[in-house]
Amino acid sequence: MSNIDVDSILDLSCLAITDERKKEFSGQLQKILDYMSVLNNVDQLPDPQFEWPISKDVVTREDVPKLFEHPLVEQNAPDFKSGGFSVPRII
Amino acid sequence: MSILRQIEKDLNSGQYTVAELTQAVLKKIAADDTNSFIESFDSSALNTAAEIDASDQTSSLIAKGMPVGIKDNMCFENHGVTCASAILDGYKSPYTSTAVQNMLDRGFVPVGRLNMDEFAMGSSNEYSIYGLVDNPWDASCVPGGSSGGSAAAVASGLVPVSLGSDTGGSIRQPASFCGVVGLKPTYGRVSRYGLIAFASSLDQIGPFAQYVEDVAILFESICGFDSNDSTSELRTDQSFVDQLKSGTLTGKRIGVPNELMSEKVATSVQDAIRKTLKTLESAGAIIDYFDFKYFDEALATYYILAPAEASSNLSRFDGVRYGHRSAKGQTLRDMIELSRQEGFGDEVKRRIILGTYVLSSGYYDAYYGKAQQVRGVVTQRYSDLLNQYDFICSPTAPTTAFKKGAHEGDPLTMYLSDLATIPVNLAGLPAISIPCGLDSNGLPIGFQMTGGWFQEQSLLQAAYELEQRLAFKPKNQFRMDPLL
Repeated sequence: MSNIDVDSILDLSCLAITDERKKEFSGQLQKILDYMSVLNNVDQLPDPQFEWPISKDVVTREDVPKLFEHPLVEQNAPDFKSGGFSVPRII
Repeated sequence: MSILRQIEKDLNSGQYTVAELTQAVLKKIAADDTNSFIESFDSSALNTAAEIDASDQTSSLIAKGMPVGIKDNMCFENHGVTCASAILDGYKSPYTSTAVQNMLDRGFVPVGRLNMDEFAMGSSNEYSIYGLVDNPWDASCVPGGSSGGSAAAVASGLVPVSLGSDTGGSIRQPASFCGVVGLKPTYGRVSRYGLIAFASSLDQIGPFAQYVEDVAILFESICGFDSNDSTSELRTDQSFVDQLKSGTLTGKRIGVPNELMSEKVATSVQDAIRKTLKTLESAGAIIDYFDFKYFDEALATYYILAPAEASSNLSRFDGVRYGHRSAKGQTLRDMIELSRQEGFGDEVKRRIILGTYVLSSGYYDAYYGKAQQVRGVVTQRYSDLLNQYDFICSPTAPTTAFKKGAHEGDPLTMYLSDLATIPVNLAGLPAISIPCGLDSNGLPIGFQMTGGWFQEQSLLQAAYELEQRLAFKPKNQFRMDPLL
């Protein structure tokens, strides 16, 4: 993972980091990704007949929209105006 | 031995009231210097205690009035919750998580929120904006993580029980490092509603205590089906305390992975595990050794899947609706990027980058797809093994608690300390860590027992019986001090 790769991943992540951190993270992430090569030791596939014993029966509920009017919604917001979350200009 | 039963006895005999108990615990927390607690809930705890004292005292609920600490990633209405992150500094939850609500309904009194690694990403509690937590056995050592505060608070005797969460070992490893009992339930046993998500397919809430019986009491209080969590399981077996003492180790088949009794594990830890296996054998259990084959592969799998899920889950922290917002951003994009840069710590950033990378076009199949395949293989391996054995036993961690700063700048070495716990999360199995001895430095060693899916009853029974035989002495047992 080169510096250029880190930049593109940062862009995808909506994340900014300092140049110093970019350098540090690149080395660390490369070491971690190198370790991931042990996965190539596993060439078998799970038996398609095998069923994970949990979450077999997913119980769903009706998806009903709910108003969320707790006073903390406004208090927790960094900028709340006229009943909505205010953000900097997009363009 | 049960501290909760002793408190119940004292309350019923009128030795002290719930309000006096709560007040004493809050004073202990205020005087504590381990940094286990981030905040104490003085006002709400004392109000709840007063309500319990004023209510019908004939209730048979053992949990009534019992103080409990909660990890700083569980929502509790009108209380702060930050995941030990600057990005949620000052945030107060507008709702209560199901696990906490279930506890409240049983009469537990939440007394405060506990320190942790930021967003539960870490194995040492060193990644917290609130600073390091001291290991109560040796303040120069870490308490483990990510639920380091939850383990240290119980080990210090500040609270009799606490709640943590376990994504890759975050209950069991700190339990091991702090010499307490920690249970990671089967995935789906405890609702994740209101648990701030790290890796949704792996996260599970569970209890800490100094004794197995107290772990069983708290566990029974928090589990159950919840329609707010689509992975919550509808189960009928939800009573774990009544039958706790009716189990037997006689004839139980115990499988021990050879890899976790090898050079991967410190000699002192291996010695303590061998001694514990002999104790099990003398109780009538049958010990057998096997090659698990996939420990390294499971670790690699986890460090692909967990960051991948985290990178998605943490995208909600954008400074728009809640949390930290950078004052520097002139456009929306700048504001989001800078808010995340200022709000997240280094380990969280590392995992977001790693997770985004393994999900990105061109790398998805090689990393995420492959990891999903290996997760299936590991789970199937466990299924085969649990047809042969009642329990799989091993050290909880390869070492005892390490020194603060020992793995600074070397995240891979830190990740390797989760070797014994991570495969259990991949398969969604229940596992418990109980203290089984001390190393030559006087630091506790944890013994991990893994059971079959939803076999918490037999797991707790076996752990209880083993605990009686080991007779491990806690460092600082919780007690109600009348002088406080």
